Amino acid sequence: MSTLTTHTTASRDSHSIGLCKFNTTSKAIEVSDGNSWYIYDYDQFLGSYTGNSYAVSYDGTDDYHTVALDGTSTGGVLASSDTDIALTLSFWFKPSGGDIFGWQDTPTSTSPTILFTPQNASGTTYSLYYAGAYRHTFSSSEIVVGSWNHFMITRTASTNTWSIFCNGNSTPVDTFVQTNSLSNRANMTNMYFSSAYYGHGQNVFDEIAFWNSDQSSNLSTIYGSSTPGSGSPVDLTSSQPYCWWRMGDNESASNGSAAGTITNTGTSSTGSTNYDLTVGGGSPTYTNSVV
Amino acid sequence: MFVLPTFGLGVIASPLSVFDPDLTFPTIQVFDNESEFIDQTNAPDYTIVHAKDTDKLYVWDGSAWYFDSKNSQI
Repeated sequence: MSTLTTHTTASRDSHSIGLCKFNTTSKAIEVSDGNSWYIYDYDQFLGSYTGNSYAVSYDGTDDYHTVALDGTSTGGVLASSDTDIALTLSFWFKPSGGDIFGWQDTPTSTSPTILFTPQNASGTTYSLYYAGAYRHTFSSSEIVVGSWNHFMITRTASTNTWSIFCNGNSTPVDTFVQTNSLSNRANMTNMYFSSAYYGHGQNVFDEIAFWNSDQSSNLSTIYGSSTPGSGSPVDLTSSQPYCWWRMGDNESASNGSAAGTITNTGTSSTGSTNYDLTVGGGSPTYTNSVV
Repeated sequence: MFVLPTFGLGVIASPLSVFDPDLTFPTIQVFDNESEFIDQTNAPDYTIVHAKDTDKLYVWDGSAWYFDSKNSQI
């Protein structure tokens, strides 16, 4: 097999035209032209879970990430039959005002499937729209502004029941049994993080995961604790999320650097499918401010 | 002038490893699909391979696969 020889950032080899090395400090491939090293930083790595060191910060002005996670009947990430829809979305977030999340056709869609927004453009009293209506307004203890919160929304296929969980509490803050088909499914074409109906939110996001199955029975595993308020991000590999965006921990990230495309490390990430998060606007940045 | 690596088509070396022991850099192993090797942890350290289904370049550092996406194709 072909292997590369190595050097380190502190002790690079002498230049030789065409010399190709793997830098064990930065994990970059480096090629010498005789005078300079041409550095090829890695885009992503797949390996064992290495903990949580980074999150992504959004400025509330124009920053947001998006992914074409199409849940329409022909989109592929959810069951094609309206009566078989099961899903779970989990993320850690630290809100400071403005929109949190939307699953809709455009950022300003008036017919979203899920919308997680304040009650006005820059507010900090948050409400959740799902199953065709605003169905829950979060109390200041359910979502704590300026602090890290864990949010998880699930929907079962067997009973068409939606459940909303906050900060690891196994008692949902809201449930709703939907007797009809998934509302506004035809507009379920894109996920937006830190952007929704009103505009853009000032938030920090970490460890976003999506399953096309109901994971409500695995809440304590996903939250990292069976005690509400005591959880922290954990290795989700064994839970096999369909999409898992680690928000910098499998990227070439550094504190304050631009968070461009964020790679999906879930089960749908192999092969030519990617479902990466891409920058929809502004300049989101990596931060060491982790849960 | 750069000495660019050339790509040899992947050949399964033995039932125990998917990595071809006869290739030496700059000729690297090319797999049809990333799934043929991405779960393997027995590659020698700093093995470099290419996958045709992703067009990515992968290096194994002994604990993880680090990879670069294709920037362009001519």
